[in-house]
Order: sequence, then structure tokens, then C-alpha cells
Amino acid sequence: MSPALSEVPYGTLDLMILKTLNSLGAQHGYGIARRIEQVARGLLALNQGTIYPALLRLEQKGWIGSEWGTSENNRRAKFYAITRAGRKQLAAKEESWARTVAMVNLLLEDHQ
Amino acid sequence: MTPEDDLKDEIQAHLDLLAEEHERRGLSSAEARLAARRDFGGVEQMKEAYRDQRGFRWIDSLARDVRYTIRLLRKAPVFTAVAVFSLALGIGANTAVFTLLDALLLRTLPVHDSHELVEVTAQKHGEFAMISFPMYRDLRDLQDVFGGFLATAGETPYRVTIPDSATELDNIPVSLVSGNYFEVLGVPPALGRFFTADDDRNPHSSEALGSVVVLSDVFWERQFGRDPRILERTISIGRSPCRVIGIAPRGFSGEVVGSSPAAWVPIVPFSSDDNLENRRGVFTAYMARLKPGVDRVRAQAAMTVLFQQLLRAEGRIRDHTEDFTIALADGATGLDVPLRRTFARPIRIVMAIVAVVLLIACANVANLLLARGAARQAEFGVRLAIGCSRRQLVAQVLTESVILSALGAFAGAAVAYGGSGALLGLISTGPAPVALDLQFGVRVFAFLAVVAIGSAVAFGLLPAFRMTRVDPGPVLKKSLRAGLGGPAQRASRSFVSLQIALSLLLLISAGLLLRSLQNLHRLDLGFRADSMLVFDLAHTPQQRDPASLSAVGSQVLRRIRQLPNVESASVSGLLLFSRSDIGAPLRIADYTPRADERVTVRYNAVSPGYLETIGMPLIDGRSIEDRDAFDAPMVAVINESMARRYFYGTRPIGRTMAIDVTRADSAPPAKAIEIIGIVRDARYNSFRQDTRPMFYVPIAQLPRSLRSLEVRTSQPASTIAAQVRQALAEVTKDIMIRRVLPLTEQVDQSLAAERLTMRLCTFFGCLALVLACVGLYGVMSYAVAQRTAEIGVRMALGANATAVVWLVFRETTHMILMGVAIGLPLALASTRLLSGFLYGLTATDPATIAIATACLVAAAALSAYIPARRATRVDPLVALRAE
Repeated sequence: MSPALSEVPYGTLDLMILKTLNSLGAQHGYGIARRIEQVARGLLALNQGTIYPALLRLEQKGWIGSEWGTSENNRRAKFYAITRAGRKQLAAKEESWARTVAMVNLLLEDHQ
Repeated sequence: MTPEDDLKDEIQAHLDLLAEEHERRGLSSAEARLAARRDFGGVEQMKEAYRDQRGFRWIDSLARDVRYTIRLLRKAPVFTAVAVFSLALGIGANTAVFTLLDALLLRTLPVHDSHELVEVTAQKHGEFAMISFPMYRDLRDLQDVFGGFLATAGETPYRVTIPDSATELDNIPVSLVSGNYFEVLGVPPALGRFFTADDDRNPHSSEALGSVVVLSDVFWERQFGRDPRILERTISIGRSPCRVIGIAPRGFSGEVVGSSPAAWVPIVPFSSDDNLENRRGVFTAYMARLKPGVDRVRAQAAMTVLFQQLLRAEGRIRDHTEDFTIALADGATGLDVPLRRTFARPIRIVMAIVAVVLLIACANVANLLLARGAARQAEFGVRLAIGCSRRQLVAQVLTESVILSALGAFAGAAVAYGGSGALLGLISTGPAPVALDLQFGVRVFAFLAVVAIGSAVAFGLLPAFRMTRVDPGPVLKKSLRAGLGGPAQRASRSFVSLQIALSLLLLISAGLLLRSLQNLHRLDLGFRADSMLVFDLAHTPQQRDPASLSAVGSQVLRRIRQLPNVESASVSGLLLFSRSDIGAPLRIADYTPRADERVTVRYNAVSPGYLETIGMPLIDGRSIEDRDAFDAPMVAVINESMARRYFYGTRPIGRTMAIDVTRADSAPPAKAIEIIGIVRDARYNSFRQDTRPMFYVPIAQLPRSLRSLEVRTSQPASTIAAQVRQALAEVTKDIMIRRVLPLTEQVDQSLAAERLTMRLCTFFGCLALVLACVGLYGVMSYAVAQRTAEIGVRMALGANATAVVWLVFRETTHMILMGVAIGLPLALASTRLLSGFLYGLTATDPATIAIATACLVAAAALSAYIPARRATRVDPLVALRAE
């Protein structure tokens, strides 16, 4: 039975975007969306459009920056890059994510 | 490019790239575009979400925080009530005092370009010298730095008669002003016209020829219902029929803060030649408007030069005319008057006191927040764990502070509204009610806002950062039970110490003021103030010749003495403890003055029975009696100080002196005055002034208007006053009673400033102590609750109740000692501000400081004892099981 495609869990999209930008360097929105889909190996149902409000949110928080550039196909595109504050945030989020997962796992085990 | 265009471009670029990808995988370009749309999701939905994110992030999260906070506060009604109550008291007290300070000291006169106004005074070595009315006229006519230069004799109570309605009103304050008064102030008439130079001519002509009057808006409304036909009607001011020529604009109440004349009349027709031409006396104050482009310093220099020239020409002061200068003070807020001089300093001190109270209240709320933060550690931990940023937490906690302080400000505004009225009552001690318009103007609202925001920051910032410094891991592991971390506890203890320090400061100040007042009240005044009524009289005699004046005095006295319940009575020309003073230039036989000495001695003209009624004991000789009549040889009773000062210990009885005619104001009798008695020294105008040389002459022999009627009676003022009014009216229509007071109250009024400061300082000192004790109690209760387990273990191991109490007390002692250690130096440094109000002790009086400290320590210890007792009732078993 093939698993149903998961929705993006609330609050994790930010983490995924930060992680992507941290490992790939500056990327435009399309590149980020593609990367997330690739890594999720088709397990994730991502409406690619939803990353744009997330990008704006991250930019407002100062965790990523953006500037206009030219894409592979010579089009005008906006490129996003992670900032120093963003890296710090990423580290913190990774840790808290790990904790949350561990906690939830613990709870699930308890109840088995 | 607009952000909206940018977004469109960005989406288009994304869709193109997606479509290209799909084409590479073999779809037709139309199919690829469709697939791209599908992958991207709803474009419009996304744009909507994007716009939300862009525009409403702040408002949205703020609204969420506010909603959340309101829910939280409603769930903790006790916390909310205590916090809002503390803040309302602090903010309200500050706003109330500021409202008064604003009205008394800061608000500018409602006139055009008030900043150009200056108050004109003369000075000699920094002391006030006088500008007589003739000198004013000369200065006014010769100066060229002022656009206008006005004189005002201030308010005088008059009997006003309105013939059409046969109304007779007593004690109506009427201000005597120069003809250019309204023009210089730049106030336009609301109706009719104001004075011209023509109205202000012909000295003392108002009774014979009539004059003109301008009414205040308030009086016009109260007496004439704003009837516009008031113009050209005639009303009588005293005995002068005056045509009403104009109405002053609403809100204009003259040049003096705290007074509000019902009417204005021109000064010259209403004043006698004696006053207007006397170069030795002064009955007027002066204001001027600077010419545009002339600054105060230049005007001051120019006026000083002119003043010195005129003084030399006048020849009254022969040498050192260069010591006399003209001083121009800022006149934008009106003339500097007794009300302001008396209360400016107390109000500033009280302002400082309430600021301290607000600090204490803030510390209290900060502590409450910290304690609540401890209870919310689990919540914060969970929120951080699921991805809430610390900044969001801080923002939420700060929202809580701001909402609390906003609630405090609202409640505080109500406190201020009632409080400022009560304060005004406390300073209204003079004969006329203080007419301060306590409006909540822009400045007061700005002050309220600044205080509210300032306190929110003061009590909210530190807790917000301390409380949110949470490590989610341990918090969650401890099965959602946690306590305040070390730093937060230290913070809340420092707050308690700070509160104790500030309370101590206020208690010491209150103690010093209280003991000073006690010292003042214990002073021997030199007369018996109990069972005495004094009537403050306004007497405008129609016949001013000495014989008739003398007769009026005797008639009044005879009539009053006949009244039932009057044990004894007297009349005199100077009211006790009224700030007024009369001096006479004297030549004393056998006393040779030093070269530069001019003998001027204070005196009072009194009727027979005055010394006996007041209760001033005679030491030697005889008192003034009925036989010392108008045509009898002139006599005087002198006081001890005068005997000591001018008679070198020899017996003065039978010696003579005379009024020095060459230096006298008007033409007094130059006859020899024989000294017939010596009376004990008495305080005459103030508690603080040392008793000065003084003498008493029969009012029959030096006749003048009656200023005071003294009645010794065991009856209260209410029963006697009506009889006296009736009796006076039978003798003459010329006397009006301004006020009746027991002499004790009359005397007490000279301490109004001291009492105001003392009362408020005591009130706020106690309030501060209560707040500090509540804070201490809260912190210790919390500490005990947190250490329940530890205490349980100790008790299980055999610690007894005393040991447990001591365990808790050790911490308390530390906080109290810290507080005292900060508070004492603080008090020593700042009570010096009070030194002007203290009497018979210094600002560092050890006994007062010791008592205040003892009270504080006792109260603090008591409030820590309750949680300590509770600690001893910990059941070790329960405590240990909870762990």
C-alpha cells in the first residue's frame, strides 16, 4: 500500500526552507520548492505557492535575505539566502524539533 | 516597481521554470503550463496569504497577544485587582499632584503671546525693594523697552449693590487695575469695551462722580444670566456707582493664579491721594509686555538705568542708589503671589513623594509578575518547545504589562480626578476660596500617558526577560512543575529591598514633619488662642477724619460688648496672623540711633481691652484703658523686646517717644507718646519669626479703619457671627465681615504649607509601607511554598518550629537589612529638601530616624512572620510525597 501524501506539518515549512538555504546557498523560490520535494521523495504534498508567504515571514524575522538576480533561463528572479540570525535560529529549531519528536515518541511508546 | 508587481514577477518566473521542467519531461507547452499551475496551487489564495503576511503581521499578532492577555487577566482576578489597584494609586496620585502643579505653576495666562509678559519688581541686593505708584507712573512714561506697562492693586473685597434687583452682595472680589490693563495683557472684550486712559483719571473720584466697571464672565452669568442688556447699566462697587462697560472673555480671571475677581475697576478713581502720591509706600504690583525684538536682559538693563536716574531725581534715597535694580521675571504664568510662594515648594516635594510611591507600586507589580511567571514556567517551556520564539514570549508578557498599566491609568485618572479636588481643598486656607481651574488639559493627559507607559516599562521589562529565560527541557521533564530560577528570585528580592528603602525614606520624612509640627504647636505664642473668635473686617469709612474714625471704633466696641455670651471684646487695626504688618518711624527719647540706623518699629492700634481679650500678660505699668481717648495725652504699651532693644534695661515707664514726621507716610500727630506699660512678647504673624520689638497705641488716638474684631467667648462662631453682623450693621454700613474664625484656626493657617506636606507625606508613607509589606509577604509566601520539600526534610530530620521560623526569617532579615542600608543614606541625602519646613530638629534627627526605622522593621518582620508560621505547619510526610 503506497502511503498517502502527508500535509506539511504546521510550523515545519520554515524549518525546511532554512535548512535548504543553509545547505544549498542562495536559491530562488522554485529551486527551494524543488529541493524540498526531492528530499521528501514524493512523501509530501507541497503546494509550491505556499512557500512564498513563508519566505516573506522568514525575511520579516530577519532570518533570510533576498535580492533580485537572473535565473538559469535568463529570467528575472528573486534569490533568497540565509542570514547569520537565520543560522542561529536553524540550530535552535533543529534542537527543539528533535526534542519535540523525542517527546512525542516517548509519549507514543508509553501508550503502546 | 510596487511590491505587488514584484510578487507577480516572482510567481511568473516560478511558473515558467515549472512549465519548462514539465516540457523537458515531454509535455506539450499547453499541458506543461497547466501542470505548472497545478503544482503551484491556487495563485490568488497564495497572493492573499502573502498580502496578509506583509500587512497585518504586527496588528494580527498584537491583537492575538491582547486577546490572550485579557483572557489570562480574567482568569487571575486577584492578581489583576492587586496590580491594577497598586498602579491606580501610584499613577492617580502622581496625576492628581501634577494637575495641581500644572494649574498653580505651569499654565500660562489665557492672553495673547503670554511669553512676552514680564513681572516687574525692584530689588536691592536680591531683596525686594518697592516701586511706589508715582515711581511707576514716571517709569511708564519714560521707558522705551515695553510695549505696555500695567499696574494692579490686586483683589479687594467690596460690597456690590445691584440697584435694579435691590441685591446687596458682600465680599465680592474686585480688582483695581491701571487703565491700560486689558490692552497690555492683550485680552479682547467679550462684550462692550475695556478701560481707556480717560477712565483712569481723577484720584478718589469714584464715589462722587461714579466710574466704570468690567465684569467677569462668571459674575455676569451668575448675577445677570448673561443678559446682553447689562451694558450701560449701573451697579455700585462699595459706594461708587459704576457703569458696566464690558465683559471679560470666558476663562480670563486676571493676572494672579488662584484668584478670580468678579469685576475690574480703574485704579485711580478708586484710590486715595495718600496711596497714589505716596513715594514711600507701595500698594500695587506691575507687569509689562516686552516690545517685539527686545529681550528680557536688555529691557532689564535699560529699566535699571532709568530707575536709578529717577531715584536720584526723587531724592528720597540719598546714597547707594546704584544698589537698586529692576528685575524682570517671566510673567507668562501670571504674578508670583502668596498662594504660589507658599505652595510651590510643598507641591514640588509632594510630587517627589508620589513619584517614590509610584516606584514602590511598580516594584510591587514587577514582583507579582515575577511570581506569576514562576507559575507559568511550564507554559512558557511548552510554547518555546513547539516553536514560539523568545521574542514572541517577551512581547506577550510586555503586552500584559502595558494592559495592566493602561487599566491602572484609567483607574488612576479617576483617582486623580477626586484627588486633585481634595488637594485643592487642602491648600484653600486664605480668606477667599482658591480659584484654581483644575482642568485635565493636554499637559495633564500627556503626563498621564508618559507615567503609564513609563511604569509599564519600569515594572514589565525585567520580569519579561527574566520569566522567559526558560530552558524547555528540564521544565518539561519535571512533569510541568517548576519554580522561579535563581536570578528571578534575586530580582524579586531586590525589588522588596528597594521598596523597603523607599518606604523608609518616606517614613523618615513624615516623622520629621510630624515632630516639627508638634514642636511648633508646643510653642508659647504669648497669648491665649483658645475660646477666641477673630473677625476679619473690611472697613471703608465714609468719613475719614480722625475724630469720626475714632468715634466709630468706640461705638462698635460698646455695641459688641453688650452682646450676650461675649466675655470680652476689642477692635484693632491689624489682624493677628494675617501676613499684614504696620511699622512706624520713631524718635525715642534717650535713644541715639547709629549713623545709618532708621528706627522703625512694628505697632498695632488697639482698643481698650485688647491685651486682656487676647490674653497678653502685662508685666509692668498699666494697660490701654477707656480714659486714653481721642483728645487725651497719647500713650503706648511696648513689648519686652522693645524695652530691651531701646531702653537698655532701664525702666521705660513714663519715658516718651514720637512718630518721626519727616519719614512718615501721611501727616500723623507729632505729639509725644508716653510709655505706660510693658507687655510680654508674642508671636504676631508667624510661628517661625522671632518676636520683634512692637508697641500698642490706643486706636482712639491713632484712628484708622477697623481691620479686626476680637471676641472672647465660649460660643462657636456660628452662634456669635449673626449677632455680631447685626450689631455692626446697627452702628455703620461701612463695615463688612470678610471671615470669622476661631483664633486657633487663624493661627494654624500660617502652617498650611507645613501641614499639607506633613499630611501627604504621612499618608503616602503609610501607603508605601503597606505596599512594601504586601510585597515582602508575597515573596516570602512564595519562597516558603517553594521550599516545602526542603522544610519537610529538615523537620523529618528533627528541626523544630523555631529553627524553621528562623530559616525563613534569615532571608527576610537579609532583605530588610538591605533595604535599610539603602534607605538610610537615601533619607539622609534627601531630607535636606525638607529643612525649610522643619522646626526644632534637624533633617537628620537621630530619634526620628530611629523611630521610623523601628516602625518599618517591625511592620516588615510582622508581614514575614505569617509565611514563616505557615512553614512550621508543613507536614513532612505530605511534603516528601509531593516530591
